[in-house]
Amino acid sequence: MRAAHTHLALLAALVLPAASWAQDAVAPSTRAPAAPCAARDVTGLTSANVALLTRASLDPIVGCAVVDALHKTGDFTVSALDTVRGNIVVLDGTLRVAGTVTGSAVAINGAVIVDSSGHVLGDVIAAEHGATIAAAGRIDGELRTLDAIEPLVAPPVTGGVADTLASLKRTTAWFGILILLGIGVLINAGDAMQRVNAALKSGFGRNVRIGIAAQLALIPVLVLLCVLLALTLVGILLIPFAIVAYVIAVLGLLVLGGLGAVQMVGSGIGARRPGVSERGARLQALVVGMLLLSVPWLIAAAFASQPVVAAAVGTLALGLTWVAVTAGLGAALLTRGGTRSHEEPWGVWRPAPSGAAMPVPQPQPEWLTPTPLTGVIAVKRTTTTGAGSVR
Amino acid sequence: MAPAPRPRPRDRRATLRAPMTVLCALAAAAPLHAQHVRTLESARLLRDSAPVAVRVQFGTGTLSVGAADAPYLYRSITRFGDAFVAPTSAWNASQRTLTLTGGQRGGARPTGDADDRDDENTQDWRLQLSRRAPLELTINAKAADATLDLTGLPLRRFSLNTGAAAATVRFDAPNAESMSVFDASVGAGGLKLIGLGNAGASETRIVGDVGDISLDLGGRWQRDMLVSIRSAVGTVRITAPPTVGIEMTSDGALARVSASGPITRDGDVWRSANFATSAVKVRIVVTSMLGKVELVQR
Repeated sequence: MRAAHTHLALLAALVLPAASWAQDAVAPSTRAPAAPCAARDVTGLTSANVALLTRASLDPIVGCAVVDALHKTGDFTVSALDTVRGNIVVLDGTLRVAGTVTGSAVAINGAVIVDSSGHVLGDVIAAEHGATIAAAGRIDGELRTLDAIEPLVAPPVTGGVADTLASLKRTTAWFGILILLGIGVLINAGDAMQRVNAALKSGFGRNVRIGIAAQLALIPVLVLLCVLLALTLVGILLIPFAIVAYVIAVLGLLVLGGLGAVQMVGSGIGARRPGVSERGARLQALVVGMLLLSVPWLIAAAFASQPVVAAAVGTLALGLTWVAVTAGLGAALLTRGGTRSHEEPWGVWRPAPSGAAMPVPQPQPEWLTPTPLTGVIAVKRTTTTGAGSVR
Repeated sequence: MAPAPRPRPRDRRATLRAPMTVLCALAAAAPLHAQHVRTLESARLLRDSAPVAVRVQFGTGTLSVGAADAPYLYRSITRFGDAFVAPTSAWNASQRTLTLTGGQRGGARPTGDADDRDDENTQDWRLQLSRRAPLELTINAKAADATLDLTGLPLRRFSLNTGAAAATVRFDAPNAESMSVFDASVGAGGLKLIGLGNAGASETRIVGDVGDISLDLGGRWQRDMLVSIRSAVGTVRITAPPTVGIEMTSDGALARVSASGPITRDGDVWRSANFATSAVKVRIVVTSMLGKVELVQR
């Protein structure tokens, strides 16, 4: 049953554009001649042949001559002594002209042969099978051979369906890229993302507050950085590089934080299956979270043809995404870009992964005073020997 | 109250699979546009050999012109996409004028992906003109890459106007008719003229805006010729065979002139050593605003 649902979903996604195309395909050609062609002698033709003639008459290369004509089906010959008044059209056969045709000689799905005694006062038009003109054959008009009758040109898919499809494709592509990006981050910085994840779980509201503060401080910090560099004069040259580095760093924090938030949401929705590795569980959480986040965006895209609904749902999707990214940014800052545990206070260093905090070793006076000490100070200085005794 | 049963792992997998499948399918399912490139061959028979004035109007695409075998006045093969309308022809039998038009946009609006748009924008026109009837040929090619092989065409007058695309004109055999003027006005694409001696023209006028102009004065010379070249920006390169006497006058504000071969300079005039004795004399006046003028005789 579920497999059937899956297949139905696939079918629906594939058939949707095809169905819309099929509906448009029956629309009349956008390049149809303005004036309708005057029809003659079509009563004996099948409906398929009438349709073919109509289609041919819409082709500007062929024109109305095919409708206002004497119609024959299959091979037909205008013998040397015969004269056809007006146009003659042969459908699905070869038209051989050994006599005279006062109009145009046309073959649709066939060839035209003008013998040496043949004379066509109008045009010779052959669709799909070419024409052969004898050396003494006469054509007063133009000889036209074309590879095919112009297909009915469906107007391009426009308006609602096209907009919706384009929006859905764009949204899907974006989330596909984000999932790939998340997988890359997961592979290369899985621990960092995990720390961001842990920070988010520890207090979502606090992360959001820090994230908002960080967003408000983004521009002032950049300006301050540039001012400080400018004050050093030499640093003026570094300002462009500093701006680029700053932007890259901010983007990195946003991506890390956002993906961490998405992963947190995903891990909260889908329980870890038994036997699945830690990395597999993280990937599952990331994909589930990304799919959840994509739902409002896809809904907004699906209503692309209805601007009000699309704007409302889009605003909701944007708000949800903003909250996730803001919280993630706060968590990324709390964890110093995922390099520390969020529980670790600032100014304390220890190697990743997280464990017990290690105090930063205080500087010893010995190595702070490399110059030899002499005199009273040297005598009073406390030193250690190799045995550890204090002198 | 008993807790609600947790969904089994298989159920969750299936739940995930459906939206994933839809997403993948949506990404893969491109709208199916029908793009068409059509081929039209058109021709008109010509049973006499009275002169014909032919005017060719071409918009965008690639245009090649050559000579047709009898009994055609013209024969054209066109491949064109949906973005173009079918080429048209207008023949006035009483005035003996023929107008051929192609490369005009006005078809379907380009849609679809890049490949589809490539198809829609396809416009290749191969045009062959009569070898039998003397022609006064005018070609207006706005934005077309034009390759004009005029070998074998009996030209009495030739005029070429191009816009942004490059044009190559060649005469590989002597013109059967005596041409009064060879006129070329090229825009930004430049002009390459090969075998001008075979053109049999008494006068050649070339005006170029931006772009290089290359003149090969090879061929079988039958009479003297006056060549005037006006170029705004670009290089003018003239290559002459040793059998032809060349006299070139350069008049340009910022143009540099260089000559190689048996050529002497007298002020603004460069003259080949055989100019006084040569049976055929070609006088060239070059006015180049900015660029380089190269005269080579070998």
